[in-house]
Amino acid sequence: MTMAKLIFLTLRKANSSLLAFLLFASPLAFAQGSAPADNQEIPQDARDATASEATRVLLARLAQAVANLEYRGLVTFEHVGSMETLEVVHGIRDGEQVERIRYLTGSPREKVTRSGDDQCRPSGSVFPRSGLLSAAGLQNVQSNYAFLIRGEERVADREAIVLEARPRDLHRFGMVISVDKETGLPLKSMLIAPAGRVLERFQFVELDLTPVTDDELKPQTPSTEPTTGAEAAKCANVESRWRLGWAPSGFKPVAVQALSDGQMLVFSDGLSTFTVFVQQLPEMNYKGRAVRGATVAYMDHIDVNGARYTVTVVGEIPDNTAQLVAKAVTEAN
Amino acid sequence: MSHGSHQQRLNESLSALMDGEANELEIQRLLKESDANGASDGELGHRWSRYQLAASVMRGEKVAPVDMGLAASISAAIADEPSLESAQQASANDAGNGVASSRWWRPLSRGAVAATVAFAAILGVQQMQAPQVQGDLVAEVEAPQPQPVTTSPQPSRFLTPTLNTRAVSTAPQLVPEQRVGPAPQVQVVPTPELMRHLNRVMVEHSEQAARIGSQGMVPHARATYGERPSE
Repeated sequence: MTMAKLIFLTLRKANSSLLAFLLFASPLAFAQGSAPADNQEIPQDARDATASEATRVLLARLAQAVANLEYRGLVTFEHVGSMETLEVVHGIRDGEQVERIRYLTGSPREKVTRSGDDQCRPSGSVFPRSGLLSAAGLQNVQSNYAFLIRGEERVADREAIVLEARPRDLHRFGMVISVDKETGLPLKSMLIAPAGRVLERFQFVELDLTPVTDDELKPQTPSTEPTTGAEAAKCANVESRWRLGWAPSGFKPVAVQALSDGQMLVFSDGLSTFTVFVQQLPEMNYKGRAVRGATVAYMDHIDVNGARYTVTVVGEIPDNTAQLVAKAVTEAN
Repeated sequence: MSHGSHQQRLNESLSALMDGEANELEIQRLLKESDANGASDGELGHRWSRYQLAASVMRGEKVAPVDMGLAASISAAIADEPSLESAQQASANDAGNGVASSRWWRPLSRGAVAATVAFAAILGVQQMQAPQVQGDLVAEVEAPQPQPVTTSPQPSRFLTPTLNTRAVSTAPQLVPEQRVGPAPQVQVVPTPELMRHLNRVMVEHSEQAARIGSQGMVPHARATYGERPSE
């Protein structure tokens, strides 16, 4: 009996020390396990030719799918600590994209959008409707982000290729997009801040690719008015009264639009977008930032000829970048 | 079966459980016994505590008297996630390798739960520090609520924020520029005009971003998020 007990004890001790070793060793093992993935960036040049060709094809398919597919589905939408579920419908009517989005959680919200084709582009813009559809747009995107194919996963019962867009500087966020193998549609997309923090995750739970009927594009909430391009239409020939003394590299002006109390200027690097609002808003002296989900708004003001203008920079961009952009707004003589 | 041999068999089962080598039958026996005697009062419970204590000492951990209430709440948290362990326990019965792997996972997951609890406590303390409020527009401070802790599987190397199931306001949250040192960020409730402005620019921005079109439905989801429900 005592002998048995002794053996028990030694065995247990052996187990415990083995365990302690493993506890110490396992973080190392994990670190080593993840190291090769990071090291892949070093011989990037060598692999660039094939990898960038693969991502180019994938991005082009994604841009096509996003603009031309009809589908409906259920989606989860998470950001900083909260999750909502929503119903999305995407149809093509008269060559225009019509989207209907309805929140299934929280306060009832619904929106039907009919996005006419690129009314608000300043002439000579490098961007067509989708920044990824043209070779120039694609090249611009690839100069701002390094693209890595991270593997495969299953989303909404479909096989997807996981594509990561890693920003090449600190003025934009990264993205991880799971692209449907069959259609090229993004089934899941995450917005990634530095250190791998996920700011936002949009993910299909269920996807149906059969053609969309007219009824499905009608709002289910009676008071919902379709948002048309009507307001946007008057922006066609607007000259911007303002310009940016500095903008993060790769961000180019894609739209200028007149507002009732000012102007808004839209900038994009092909994936990320920010909008600069310059408005005359009496009694609006707030200086600072506001956040909602992954979207940040930085407010400041400038004085031009004794008049005060409120500057608001809004986008899914880092706080500091929004602040720098806001401070760089000047009048375009 | 005499009482003595029953007790001895229980002790052997307990030893086996300690080492992650207990089979289904032994676990059933232990559970039955501990149910019959009341969880931590019986001889079995005390013995289990002693074994754990001994194991801790051998691992070189610092040992303090355990608050049974806390232990109970942590074990409740562990009980919520038994799938990995029990799956490995099952495979442990089949293969020798499985035995080893189930043994290392146990303390890891237990440590992870304890760490989560501790982290939540620290977070709660930080958020409760009275924030210094500045700025003319500040009307009142919204009392921050500690984030509830959830355990969800996360993709490797991405840190997903913990999810919150309480209803969250869809209003933008203000962060004034003058921040006080490393103090936690302050949530302020600003004037209705300011909130309307912020909501408007965020919705307009998302609609513009949707036109650029490389992100599919996501900007639409953002734009609709701030839509005011019909009033």
